[in-house]
Amino acid sequence: MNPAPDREAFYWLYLTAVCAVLPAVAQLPLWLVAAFSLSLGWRFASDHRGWRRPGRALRTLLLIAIVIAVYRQYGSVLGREPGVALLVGLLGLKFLEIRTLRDYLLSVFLFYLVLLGAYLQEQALWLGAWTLLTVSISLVAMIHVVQPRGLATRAKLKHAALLVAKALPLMLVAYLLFPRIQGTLWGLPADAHAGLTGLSEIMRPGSINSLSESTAPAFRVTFEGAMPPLRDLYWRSLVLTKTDGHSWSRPRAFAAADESFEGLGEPVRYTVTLESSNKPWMPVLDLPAEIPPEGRARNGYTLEFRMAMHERQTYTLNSYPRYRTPPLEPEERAANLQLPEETSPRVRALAERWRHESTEPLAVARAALAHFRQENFVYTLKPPLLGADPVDEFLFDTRRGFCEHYTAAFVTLMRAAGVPARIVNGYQGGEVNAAGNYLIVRQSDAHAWAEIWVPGDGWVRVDPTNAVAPERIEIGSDALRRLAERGVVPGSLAPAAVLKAIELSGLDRVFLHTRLYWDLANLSWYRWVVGYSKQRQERFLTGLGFGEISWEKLLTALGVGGLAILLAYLVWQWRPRPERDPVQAQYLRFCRKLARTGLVRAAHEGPLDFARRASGTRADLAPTIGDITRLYLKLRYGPGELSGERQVLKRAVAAFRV
Amino acid sequence: MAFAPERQSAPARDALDAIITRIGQVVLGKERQVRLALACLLARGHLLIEDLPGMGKTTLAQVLAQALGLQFKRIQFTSDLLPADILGVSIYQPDTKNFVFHPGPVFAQLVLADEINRATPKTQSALLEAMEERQVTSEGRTVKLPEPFFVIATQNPHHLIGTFPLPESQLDRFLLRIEMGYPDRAAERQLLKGRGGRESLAALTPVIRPEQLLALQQQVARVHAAEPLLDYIQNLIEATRKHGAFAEGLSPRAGLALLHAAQAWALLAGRDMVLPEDVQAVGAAVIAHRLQPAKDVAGGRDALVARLLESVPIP
Repeated sequence: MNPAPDREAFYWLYLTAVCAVLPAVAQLPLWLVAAFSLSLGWRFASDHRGWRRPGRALRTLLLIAIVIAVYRQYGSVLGREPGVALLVGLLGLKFLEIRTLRDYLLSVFLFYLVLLGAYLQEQALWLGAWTLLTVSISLVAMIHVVQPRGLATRAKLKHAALLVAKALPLMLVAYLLFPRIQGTLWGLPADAHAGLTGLSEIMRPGSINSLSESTAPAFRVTFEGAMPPLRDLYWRSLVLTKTDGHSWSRPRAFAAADESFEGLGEPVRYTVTLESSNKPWMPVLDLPAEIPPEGRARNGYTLEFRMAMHERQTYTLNSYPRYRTPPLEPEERAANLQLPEETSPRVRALAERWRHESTEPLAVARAALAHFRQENFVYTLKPPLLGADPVDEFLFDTRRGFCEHYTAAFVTLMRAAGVPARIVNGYQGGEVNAAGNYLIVRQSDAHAWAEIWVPGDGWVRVDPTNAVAPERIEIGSDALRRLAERGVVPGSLAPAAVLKAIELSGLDRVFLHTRLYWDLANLSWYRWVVGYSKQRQERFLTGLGFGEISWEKLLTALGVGGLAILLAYLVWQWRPRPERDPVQAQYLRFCRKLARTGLVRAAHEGPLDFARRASGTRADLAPTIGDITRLYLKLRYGPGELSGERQVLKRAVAAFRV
Repeated sequence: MAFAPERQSAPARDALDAIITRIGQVVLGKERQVRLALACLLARGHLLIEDLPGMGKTTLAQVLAQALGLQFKRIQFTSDLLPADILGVSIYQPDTKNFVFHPGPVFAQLVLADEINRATPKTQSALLEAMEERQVTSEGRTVKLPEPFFVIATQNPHHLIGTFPLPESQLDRFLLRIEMGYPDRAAERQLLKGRGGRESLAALTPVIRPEQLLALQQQVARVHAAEPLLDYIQNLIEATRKHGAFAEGLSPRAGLALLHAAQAWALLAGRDMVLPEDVQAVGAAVIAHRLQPAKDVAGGRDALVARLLESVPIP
């Protein structure tokens, strides 16, 4: 064992340090990253340029400085972020005092702690892969300092990779059997969920615009049975009825639990994996037939969790795409006709005109949609800002907007025409991941649409956006973005031309496929690895036939499993090794062929003796046996490299027939 | 031989074949022992022959010397033999007032030390030192022994009264140890008919000159020993160290002896590379006298060595 780590050892340690700190860099303050890098640089300069390293007094001062700086940054030295920051800062200082092997190994182990710190932020697939890489590098570092000098780098890498490979089965057993803690793995502190976006409770025209830009996944859906067409997939999260002319919001009171409907046709069954949103909304397909145990009903057939969700959630339920809702209660009817006093006369006049043409709600709605289509309305993701009376300005002046603008205007017009109407906020469509046969719904798929109440049918969905930009509904939000990039006005092209216009180039298609496979890998990672909860573990073990599971049993199983793996490893170590020397391999093949005729070479029998014995028994084969043996002896025991004759031997053995 | 040499110079092979044939005319039915003795000589080692009197030990030594054209001396070891009787003495010359060294019988190219276990250890070790160092130091003067220098020692293993058997450490000085053994029926009949044996010695003419022998000795060192063969030798040695049947394992010197003897055997077989068979052929002769069976192990040394050779696979 080397008494002190050498220069190369430090190269490996620098690499370990960088790899371990990298996942945490985004959450560290810049000054700390700089201080850490400076410490590493100082160490390097002292090793290579003979710079003086700080003495004990200076090191103590630096230590105090870092503690104070971290405290000033976070207001504490405890907690997740300050803890990781402190660890990184002090490990930087550690570089300035590593002298012995013990210091070195201690640093490597502490970097594991830094690496674990990154898991407090997220438990992503890439982090898992990155951890394996970092651990492998740290293993090389440790192998370097404890192995005799002069070992080739390749040998060290191989050794490290082997160690990791040997650890994998143990990891798997521990993962499957180690008693799971109910709840999150580390009991994440409260500051863990900052900065997430999602649908808002209050809709103001413009608030969804920011969502449209984000391609972050909102949730993923797996359907049992065939997936309905994209244009029928309306994921409702919120139903907004109250308006003051500027904004729309939900009624304050909770919905009565007896909101019911009559499902028509076959229900659709599906499982949603919802990304954490910091909101309780539970997007469901129109209309949910049941309430999952973790949710509860809100107004307008929407569901939500009992509290805001900070982690990924999975739920399964049935929805009826076709339905009939019961008659409206008078107060509900009033709520869905409510308009602010100051609704502009121009808007009211427009609605009045349609009502005079027909009192049929659907006819009024058709008139409104025809108005959007014919009056030069344009769908755009970047509409002009609206002033004091957004509906009026939008309808008569700007005529540019996206789903929110159209839906808000439509519902206002409907109410003004005496038709009960409301806004539904949620998501529409999604992206089909053919790789995993599931649907990815992104934040950019966020959508707003309207529902009007039709006597006899109940609530009927009307999507005014469809009138202006059918691509949004038929092809998805992605189509709109691509059309905009190519300068095409939505609604101006025939469907076939639209598809042609948004066709992806070869490279983009490859990129898209890569993205979809990556998404599938991530989904599997979350469903099977991160989401492997106590319940899943119990289900898995019960599936294996283990009945009641207690943690004592689990630990026993873990011990037994570990021992079994150890035993299997030992057996594997003692297995007969395949011959690596190609010449010897050929000769053994030759011997196996002869063995089939009953001529078995004893382990201690020399090739020459064997050839003599074999030729004695099988005189017909004697010339061939002689040739092969002569060639083999020359190649194996003779002087010089005879690579050409190896081929001759190989062919001779291949052609050898007994 | 069915699987014949590949790249050895023909003259060497012819010369060696001729020597073996020539000796075989005198020492009847003992080709294996003859080859081993010759291999020992070619590998620059010394030979120990253990057997009863009258088995042809002396004849073998003499015929070797004669066929190879070596100067031959025989020393009969007795209990009153002194080191100086072997090595020689420095005698004062009154006319020159100087000591002049008179070389003893050890100054010959082939020395037969007959019944070496009958001399005292002191005398024995004088010979053994000379064998090892190939030189004699007397009265502060060092005199080189002739080249080639080859000692054949014989000892009678069965009649031990009044003898000093060579200790194990000294046995190690001999590259090979062989036993003559009884001749087979046909060979014995030939002897009885008056063919072969010591009587035919007089007619024997040398096949090669000593310089040629030196050249052959150098050629032995050049016989190729490939990595797998060295593996095999190491495996064998390791086996003696781990094998429970022996009190102690083989020394590194024994490993070298095994390699050199196998090289010489390969050369005799007309090959320029050592095969596992060569190692096996000389194995018993190299190993057996260097190993001591463990206390509670039955069977003779030779049987144990044979079993050892069978237990180690050829890599």
